[in-house]
Amino acid sequence: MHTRVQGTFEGVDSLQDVPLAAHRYLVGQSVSPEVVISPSPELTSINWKGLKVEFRVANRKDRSSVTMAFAGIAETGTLVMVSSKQSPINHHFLPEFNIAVLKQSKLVDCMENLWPLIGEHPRTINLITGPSKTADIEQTIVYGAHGPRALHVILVRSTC
Amino acid sequence: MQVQSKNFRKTAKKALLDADLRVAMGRAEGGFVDTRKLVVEELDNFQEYREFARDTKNHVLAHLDYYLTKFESNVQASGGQVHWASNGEEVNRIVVDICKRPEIKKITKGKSMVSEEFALNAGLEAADFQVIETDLGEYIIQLANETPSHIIAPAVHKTKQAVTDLFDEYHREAGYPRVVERLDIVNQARQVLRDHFCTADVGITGGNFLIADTGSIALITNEGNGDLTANLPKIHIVVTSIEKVIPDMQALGGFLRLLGRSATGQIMSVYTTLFNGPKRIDDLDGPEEFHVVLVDNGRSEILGTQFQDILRCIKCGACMNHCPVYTNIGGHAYGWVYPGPMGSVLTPLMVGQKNAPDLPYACTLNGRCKTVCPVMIPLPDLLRKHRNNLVEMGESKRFQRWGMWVWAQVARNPRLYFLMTSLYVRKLNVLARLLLVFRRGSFKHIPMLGAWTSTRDFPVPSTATFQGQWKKRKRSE
Ligand code: SF4
Repeated sequence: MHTRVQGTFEGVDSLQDVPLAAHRYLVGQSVSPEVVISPSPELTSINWKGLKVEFRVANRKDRSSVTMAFAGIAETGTLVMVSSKQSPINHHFLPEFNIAVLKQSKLVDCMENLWPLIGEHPRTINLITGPSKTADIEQTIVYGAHGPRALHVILVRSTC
Repeated sequence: MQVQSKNFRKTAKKALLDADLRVAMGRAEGGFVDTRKLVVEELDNFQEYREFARDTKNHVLAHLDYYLTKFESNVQASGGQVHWASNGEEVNRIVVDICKRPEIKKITKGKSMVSEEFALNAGLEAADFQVIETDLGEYIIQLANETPSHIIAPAVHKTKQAVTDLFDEYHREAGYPRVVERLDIVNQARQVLRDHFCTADVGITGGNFLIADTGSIALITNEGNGDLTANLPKIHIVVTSIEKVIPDMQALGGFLRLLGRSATGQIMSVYTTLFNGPKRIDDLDGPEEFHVVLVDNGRSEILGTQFQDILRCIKCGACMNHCPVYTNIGGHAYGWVYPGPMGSVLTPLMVGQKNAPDLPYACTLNGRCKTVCPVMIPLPDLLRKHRNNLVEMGESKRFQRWGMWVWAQVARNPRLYFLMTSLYVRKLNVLARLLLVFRRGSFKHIPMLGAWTSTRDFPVPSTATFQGQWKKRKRSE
């Protein structure tokens, strides 16, 4: 589903494989491997060798970000992002390239099964389905309107 | 926004003769309709969701005070502030009051049709704020000093060429080149608007659904401008209307399945965001203040009337995309914020029937809008009710009433009806032959039907009426 909504996608075996996959993706897009990363424990604990990384809030100069998805919705290929001190909101919108890490164990089949997992609402819950786009010029789709031009999902198969 | 709906006949005629508009509408036509059809057919129980949405909205409208109060207390519980506005002036005052601080100069704005009802931008500009629309379509029409012509594609009436010229005029001074290709146009808007996003002091967005149970606002966009507007500035203000409340998160899924499909033919729009209060104490980003302005502006007066069904509308735009009148004349001809079938029902209710007497007649009663409406609003029936009321109020033209009376007399008498109709078609045929006014089987001009034939041809009828042909066929059987 995620590829149908114009996102790209790859699977890796464990969290430790994420840096290599991210590096490969960015180089493939001709973007330098510098990323701003959401300070979630899963992401801060990885060895990001080969990439220049910073754990802080994204600003407009950052070209690429790595984020940790709270969950994924299979029905629509949607990423679920829940804001917190570990997951700043701007990472999903300011950079041109957004790489989202999603654990397979966090997939739900539909939205109805997502809400019970969230509990008390944070400032934002972002349901993101593909990269930013617009059809405001003669109803023809162009990607990268205001948000990311490209959205790459790295699905982590292991449970730990 | 000023009401121009009284001039519908004139503006519709002008629209039909506008070559640029025909090009733009021609390019857009069909796109929405085809993609919607595909994704709707894919969902087995689309009809069940429609019924669910209809029933849920009916339930909420019947208990609107309960759900709104619940919503209010939950917004407050999450640290937000709720403001009630009974009309447009109040909204403008409330928003200006929130923004009146020495450090606040620039306001970015995500698309909000509600705020078009009372020209919020003009109100803010009059109070010396700089207001920048950030949805690409809205930004284009803001530069052009126009109003939206479609509720989800506000610049659908603009050709690419027109946007090129507009950007050239407004961006050249800042050193931007003239852009012709679609991708370059979008990129340039992205760059220009980025500066505004990052320097705005206040962000104003609309809201698609208000969730009573959690005090959340659901905002749906494809561009991502709504989120940049809502999260970068220090203050986030949501301006939205009271009928958008739904009970809980479980109901939201059903509505989302309908909305994306009906609006743009997407299984899900790109960004669906739930906003709850301001940033939390240890959050790394997000606004420090969160305000929700709940706008009535005439809606509560529609509650409990024969037009209540229109309050179920989730502003998807499907009815206008499928309307032969809208797709020919575009949105501006309707003269106020909401065009197409839902606009023809809503506008007279909100601005007064006398100020929009022709809108209920801007309909062929073909019924497509009713068939596609995700919340099952019986739009043609509501338009017929408007027509009834207009006649009862004596607002219809004497010529119309007289014509109806004659028609009723004739139609009540089958023999007379048969005689008159066969005479009329024969006369038309003879006339056509005599005057040689028809080409390729159509009339270019018919006396007394000039309003029809000035913009389209009328097919030459067969020499026999339907009843005549029917009888003949029966006999030969
Ligand atoms: S009336 Fe129905 S079809 Fe038209 S915009 Fe509203 S919800 Fe959509």
